[in-house]
Amino acid sequence: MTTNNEKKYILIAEDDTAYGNVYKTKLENEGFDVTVVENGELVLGEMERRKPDLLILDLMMSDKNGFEVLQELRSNDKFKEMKVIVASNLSQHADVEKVSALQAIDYFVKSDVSVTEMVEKIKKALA
Amino acid sequence: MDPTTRNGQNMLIMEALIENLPGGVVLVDREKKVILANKKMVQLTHLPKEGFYLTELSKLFEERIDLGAELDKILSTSVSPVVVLHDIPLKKLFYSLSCFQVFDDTKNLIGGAIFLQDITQEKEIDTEKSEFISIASHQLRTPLGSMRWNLEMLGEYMHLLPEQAQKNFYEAYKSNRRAIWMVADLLNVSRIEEGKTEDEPQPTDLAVMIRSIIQEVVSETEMKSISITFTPKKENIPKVKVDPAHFRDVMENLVSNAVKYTKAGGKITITLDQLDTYVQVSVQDTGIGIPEKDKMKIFSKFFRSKNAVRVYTESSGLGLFIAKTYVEKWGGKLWFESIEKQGTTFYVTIPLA
Repeated sequence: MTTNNEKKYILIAEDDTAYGNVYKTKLENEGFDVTVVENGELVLGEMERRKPDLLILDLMMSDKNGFEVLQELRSNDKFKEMKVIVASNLSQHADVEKVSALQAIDYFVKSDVSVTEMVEKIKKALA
Repeated sequence: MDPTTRNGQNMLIMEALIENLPGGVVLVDREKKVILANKKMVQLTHLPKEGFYLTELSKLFEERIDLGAELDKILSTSVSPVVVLHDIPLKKLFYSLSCFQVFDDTKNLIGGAIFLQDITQEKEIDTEKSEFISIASHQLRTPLGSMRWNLEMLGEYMHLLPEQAQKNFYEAYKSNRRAIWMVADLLNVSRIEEGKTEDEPQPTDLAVMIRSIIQEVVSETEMKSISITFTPKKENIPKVKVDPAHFRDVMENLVSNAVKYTKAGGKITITLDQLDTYVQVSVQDTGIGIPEKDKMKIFSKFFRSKNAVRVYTESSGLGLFIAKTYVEKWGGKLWFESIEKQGTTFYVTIPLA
């Protein structure tokens, strides 16, 4: 831990445990506090409970999808400025544009980045 | 025409056949004057049977085709006799239009014909196929991605396992990466088919890109003791208008093919030159080469030569199809020269911005 920082807290919305477990293990190893929620409905509640420094949002979750969550976030004064990275397996320009319009700071396709690259993106967002 | 004679009867039968064809037909003489237009053609175009003019027919295709020019090509006997154009839109449906030479039984060219066939249903089936590939590919990415990440996590503990286990792990990881590439290829192809390539050309420095691609393969070429060199033939070769991400895909495909299909101790030479109004890249290897009988099929979807499959079993066979589509979209050309067991050189030309 660095001298003037508490651990940064990352909230991850990901319904697939095969990814969720990697996020949790790896990011905790890198010195972050991590919570993984498995559906979109739970995201806002969790954010009210403890405000994260960064939200990683999967787009295709079974109940509420990431687009809706992001829209709700941006229309809530408390979370308008929240740093959000979108992680998904879709990759059409239309999806990327929709998500940038909602001020996501980064977007990556999970199958196309290594675990190391994923960590770098997160560190860059929190810098 | 006398229906009482044998000839007369044959003529009536022929006429009946033409009138009842499920496709539209127009026959023109060597001066492009319309000799006949059948029932289906009249039905499709709403032009009058008597007084069917080529100019009126051309107008219907909203200037997508110059029928007069296509027929000129047909009627000048020095040219290949059939011109086929697909996906011609006409009143919200899709047609295939063919122009061909018509010879009498003494091999005299009497004129040309236009055949118009409704392919709307085939086109719909194609679109459904494409959408299916797109959906399936996105679904496939999910388990492939979690496999990749979990393997990478596992990778951190590989040093604790015996060498054989490490080899097994490495092979599993390589296969996973290959599968992810193949899914990306499938998605690319389905987008190309649907006309949704999202290609955004911008002035791009090819030398810089080629150098960075060589960096990516250098560890593999070193392992195989293959020498790889890049020679720009001029200083300051101008930028060309290509979509950088897609051009990168094209170059990576050519370079990785050269690496895959060249044995240990071989040589890969990449050049970049400016000739007149275009820029040319060449990728030359001393690899397995392309067999004569396969040369015509190299750019087809899913095609892989047997000698290539022997060297490298897993590959989608889509890379060159995708590459050619993009290069031609940018107004360029992609072709090759090859001698089996000696080597292959691929050439890409792109017109200057």
